[in-house]
Amino acid sequence: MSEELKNNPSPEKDKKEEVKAKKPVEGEKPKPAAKKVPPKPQIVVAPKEEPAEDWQKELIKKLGDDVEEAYVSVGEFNIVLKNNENFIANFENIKQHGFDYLADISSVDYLKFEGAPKRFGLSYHLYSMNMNRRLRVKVFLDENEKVPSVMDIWKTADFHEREAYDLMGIVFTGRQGLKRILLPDDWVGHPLRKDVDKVEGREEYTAKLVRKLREED
Amino acid sequence: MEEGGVGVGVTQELIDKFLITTKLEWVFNWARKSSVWPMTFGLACCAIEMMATGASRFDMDRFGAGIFRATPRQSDLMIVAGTVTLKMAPVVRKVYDQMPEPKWVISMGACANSGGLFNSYSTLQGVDKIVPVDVYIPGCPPRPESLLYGFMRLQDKIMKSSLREKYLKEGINV
Repeated sequence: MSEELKNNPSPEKDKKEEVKAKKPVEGEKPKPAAKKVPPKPQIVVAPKEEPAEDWQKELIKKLGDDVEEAYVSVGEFNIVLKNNENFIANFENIKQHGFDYLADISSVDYLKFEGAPKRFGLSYHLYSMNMNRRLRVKVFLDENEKVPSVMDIWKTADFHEREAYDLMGIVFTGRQGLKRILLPDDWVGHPLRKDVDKVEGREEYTAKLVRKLREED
Repeated sequence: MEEGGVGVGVTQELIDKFLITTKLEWVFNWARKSSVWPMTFGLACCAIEMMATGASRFDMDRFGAGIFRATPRQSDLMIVAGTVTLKMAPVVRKVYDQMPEPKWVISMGACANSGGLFNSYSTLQGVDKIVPVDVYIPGCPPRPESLLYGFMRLQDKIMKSSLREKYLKEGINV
């Protein structure tokens, strides 16, 4: 609470600043205000709460030092795991804890975000059929950092990992058949990376395709 | 043999009343435009409108084009109804190649015409990059009336087609 108070100026100050800001706008034309450069996107995190329920505490205790951070946000339990040699064993622990269904693996590119821990992020969305509970496990990765595959634990990870590899270029180790799933096999690059120009890759591929079709004629 | 010299039982009166003379080309074109067999080729939401066009309310059968074939080998018209992705593009071309001559293509909807709103990494920006298109129908998606109108314009085009022009294009002097 004390930090929040320091960051947020008191409401009285807010009002004064608003009055100051309004005065020039009334007298002049509102055009100069529109020229302002939009601020860089920042990670806005919903307020984090301490995990309170018993199963959450048990799970954190089970995973031990490999947990970087564990919190409840908007009613959902999140665990940030370290990408180390215990990675697979941790996920096996989580499955034994009742989370038998891997709903999704989503990948995020934090290139243009300020304050991100690393370049890429992976979120494993897990669901427990018996207990009707959800859990989100996050891992942060540097560029060119590889992550072990969880395909041996949840078979459905096959397609999710291939999708993350196809569009974001994240390499999963310890599994077979890591190839493209959505894009054509001869595609170059990973289009959802923030440093890739999507139109350039498309035009390149279209030109290649048209050339190939003409040769066949 | 009677005096007219045409045949037994055929009089001059019969010829005047019941027989017409025309160009063979016109007959062929009329036959082609009156029984165009389109192919079932829906790629996205435009296919729903195409189905509605084929169903009873709008009834494409009035134009002789109600029989949607499931194979390109039995059809003359490909209605590209929907978004063509880069992965689908070679398939579209292969299907077009499998259709027998004479064949026509209708590009239906904004996506097939120009990529539409999908200015993304995976969408082909216009189906005319890979197959020759006869009629473009705008709309997102076009209503069945639009598709019928486009089809009627295609019928006009078929009626204007001539074998001579086709041979000249292929370098054969007629």
